[in-house]
Amino acid sequence: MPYLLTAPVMIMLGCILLVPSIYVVWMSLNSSSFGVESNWVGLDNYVRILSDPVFWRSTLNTLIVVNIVVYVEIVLAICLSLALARNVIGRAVIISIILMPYAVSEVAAIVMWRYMFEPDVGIVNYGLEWLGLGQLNWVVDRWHALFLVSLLTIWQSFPFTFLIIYAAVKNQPRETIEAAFVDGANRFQAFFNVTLPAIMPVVLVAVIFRYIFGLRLFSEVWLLTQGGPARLTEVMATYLYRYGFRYQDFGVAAATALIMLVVSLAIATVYVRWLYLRSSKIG
Amino acid sequence: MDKDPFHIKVIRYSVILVMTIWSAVPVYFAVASSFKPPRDIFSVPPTFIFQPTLESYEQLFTLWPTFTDAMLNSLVIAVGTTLLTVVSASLAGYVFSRYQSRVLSGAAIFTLLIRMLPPIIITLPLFPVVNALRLNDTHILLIVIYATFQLSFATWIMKAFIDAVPKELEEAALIDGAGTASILLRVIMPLAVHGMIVAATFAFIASWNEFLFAYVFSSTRARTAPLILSQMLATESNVEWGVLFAGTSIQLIPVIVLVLALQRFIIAGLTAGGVKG
Amino acid sequence: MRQTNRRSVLSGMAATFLGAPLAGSLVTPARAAEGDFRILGGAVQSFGASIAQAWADSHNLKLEYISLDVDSHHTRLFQEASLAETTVDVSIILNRFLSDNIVNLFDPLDAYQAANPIENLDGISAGLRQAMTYGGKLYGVPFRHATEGLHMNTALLKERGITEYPKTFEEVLDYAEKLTYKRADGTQVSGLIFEGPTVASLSEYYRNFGAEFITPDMQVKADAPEMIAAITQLQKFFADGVLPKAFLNFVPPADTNNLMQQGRAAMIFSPFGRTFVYADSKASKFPNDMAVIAVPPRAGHAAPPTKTEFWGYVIPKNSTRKDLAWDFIRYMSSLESIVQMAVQYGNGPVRPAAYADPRVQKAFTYADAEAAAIANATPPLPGFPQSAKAADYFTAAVQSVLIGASSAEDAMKDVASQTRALLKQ
Repeated sequence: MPYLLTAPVMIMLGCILLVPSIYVVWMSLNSSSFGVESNWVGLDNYVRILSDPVFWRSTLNTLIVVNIVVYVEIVLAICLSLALARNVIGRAVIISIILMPYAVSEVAAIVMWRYMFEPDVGIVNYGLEWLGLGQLNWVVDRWHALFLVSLLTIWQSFPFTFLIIYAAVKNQPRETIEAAFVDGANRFQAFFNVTLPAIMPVVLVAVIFRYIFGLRLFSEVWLLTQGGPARLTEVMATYLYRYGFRYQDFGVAAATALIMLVVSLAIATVYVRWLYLRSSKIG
Repeated sequence: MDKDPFHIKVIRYSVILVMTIWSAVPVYFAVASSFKPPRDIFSVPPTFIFQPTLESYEQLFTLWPTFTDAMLNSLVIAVGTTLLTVVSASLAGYVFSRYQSRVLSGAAIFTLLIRMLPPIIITLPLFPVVNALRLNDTHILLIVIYATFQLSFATWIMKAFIDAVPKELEEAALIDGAGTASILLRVIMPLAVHGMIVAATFAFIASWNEFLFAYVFSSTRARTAPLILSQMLATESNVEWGVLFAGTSIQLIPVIVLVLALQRFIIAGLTAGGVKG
Repeated sequence: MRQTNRRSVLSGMAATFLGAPLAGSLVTPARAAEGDFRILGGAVQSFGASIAQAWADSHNLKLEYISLDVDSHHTRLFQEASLAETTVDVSIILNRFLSDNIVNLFDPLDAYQAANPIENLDGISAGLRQAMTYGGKLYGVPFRHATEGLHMNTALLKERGITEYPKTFEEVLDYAEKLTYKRADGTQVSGLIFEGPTVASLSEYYRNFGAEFITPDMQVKADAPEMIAAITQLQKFFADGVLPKAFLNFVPPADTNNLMQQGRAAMIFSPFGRTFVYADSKASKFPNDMAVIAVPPRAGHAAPPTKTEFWGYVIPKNSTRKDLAWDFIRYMSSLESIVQMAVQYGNGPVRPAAYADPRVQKAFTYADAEAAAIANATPPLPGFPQSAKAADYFTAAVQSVLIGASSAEDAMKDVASQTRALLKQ
């Protein structure tokens, strides 16, 4: 019976993801493109990628951005969820607005970001200068660009993190929290001793998936900087895209994808273990 | 105890205010642009006061008659994806939460692992297969593909929320002679509804906006709205921004409606309420 | 309240179990019906939809377009053409996507031409046909070109006291400095812009320094003194604000269209046909002030080949109705169709004879200038399998010069050696 209930999920994942994935492994060991016969090259594609300094820079950029955005999102999401947990006027409307960055067409949203952050005349730069904070020189400077990419990523995926955590916070039995107060716990103690442990499994799931999705960070970079200037802001997914869909070098693209999988796996393992240790302790 | 002291209230409302404005500003610009005359959309400095016009919307429907059909396709596909995702993920999430075995843990990890490969690379091997099976350009294909990509997250989120449902309730129902199906439908699902809301919202939004698979696997019959938006950007010499933003704004409406509707199900203290009921 | 919610969730779930299979049976796999003719067509609607419609009507066919943006279009085309069999009957292709490898996916067209000839095929510009010929075989029939000219906002020229169009390339560079200024309303004007730091957008510029990136016979010239001079000048323009900062990652053509329409740039190198966009009465603040001329050559030098890019029709090797597709191509590439495409859609006509047509003369104020430019025009790069990679090397190098990370000499030497290594592979 339990196996039967997981069948729909397993069949779909198996047919649509697993089988093609095996083919991707094969692709990564071949050199192939449109219009030519593919030929076996063994680990050559991996060697080429791992000896390319641009790939390492892409990996570093990805890891920097993803580590910033995941934690900032989680902290902001917890704060906002707590702020919205009690009765607030117009809560439904507020939540709809908060979710909009996730719902709006990515292309249109990023066009607006580019307009607001235009290096010469964008209103944000006007504002920053007016505040005496200097300019955000994201078209020239790698770190400014990665900062803007992080900001945009947080803006776009905050709704994802928020909704998960908000639902978890609202899932708390009121009695538990009230009991904590009766025991004389103050607000912070109540949060750290009662609420946080209770929502922790959900927070961890959010973290795991934000890492997995965050490591594939693509549009935010591609539509803002195309990985430029001089490929300084390239991330792993733009590296893959460039090889697979601009150079039609499928071997390198497939190998990049598998390296990305390994990186995801390494990070996710930490949190999955944490999740399982927790549940085994409680159970 | 429901009354917060003043300073806490100030903090709470400031957090809400800041996050709302932060989320809204770029979207506001996009939506406002759809009502601006084209030459004001990217003017420097930005125009905040303008005579609103529906010109871009008129143009949208005259220049892109396919947009309406595409919206309809998107709707069918997004609803289909949402249903398929929530149902299959709830079942699997329940199993992963309630049954322990080496095979099942392995399966749970598999759902996670398989999702770590970038989807774009999957399109390459999938394309010839889909064509050989003559499934390209169908709604059902996109529904199944989209659902597949939602399943890992949805399953794990359902597992996390079902974990939070007290086991005692199930045991009580079991003593009353309820079967698995009945426990699932009457005990677990109503209490894990927050997880379902989360899974459903993301499944809907993701399939509503999806571009990559739609462009690889649809041609004319199952063409979705994001494809039409991308076509607006495709013209080699010019982009009609007003029309694009009009399309973007219209595309936002169903999502807002859905989110507002689903809000009603997010209620505090659900689990505790379940114990009493 | 809680009770109702639970019930509605339950009924929703029940509906799902019933609904999912039902939906599946309703949506049957779609195949092109017999009467449909499938065109994989990027932005083809704006290229000549009404003309294609006339052809379809005469054959009692219904046209079906699969339209995508340029990059997606080509990926899709190559994927379709790599299948065992495709439902696509004919496709358009941009010249820079063709290469020795890619042509393996398409039918050579010479046999069709012998059996059922396109009237006066030689009337299509030789340079364009040449660029679609691989191993002596013609793979694509050109139907639309975009050839580079120099656009000017004459209102801004007047504000700077300039009354004549530049007559030499040196004058263009000189004007670029003069036209970089702040207008009375505070708008900062960039004197001369390009659509991006790319081979495609800069080739017209550097060719007028006597430079070339890769010659038609595959010689890499990126490190020649002429190229270094061109890039050094570009660096100066960027430092002086002749080029805006955003130039580093312009998204063509949207960003530059906007700069021209808003009067934030005075001159631009871009295809002639863009003048309709810059002067678009709805989007432009200067609908009556746009002029376009052929880029004037250096004093004492003949004009270098003008930069052009163009679209052609191809027939996938694995398509099933090739004779029908050829008939379509024949129709679309006739002189009359080419003239119609120019007049109705502003397409650059690939047949020089079209420029003499009074309808084209009337529609294009710049007909004679463009006719002269296309007579001696070549694509920015020759077609070879790694051309996209070479183009990316170039862009990265130019960017690194402009942000001050590298000197023009060093950057261009790197590009040259990287590209030479690439061609050896």
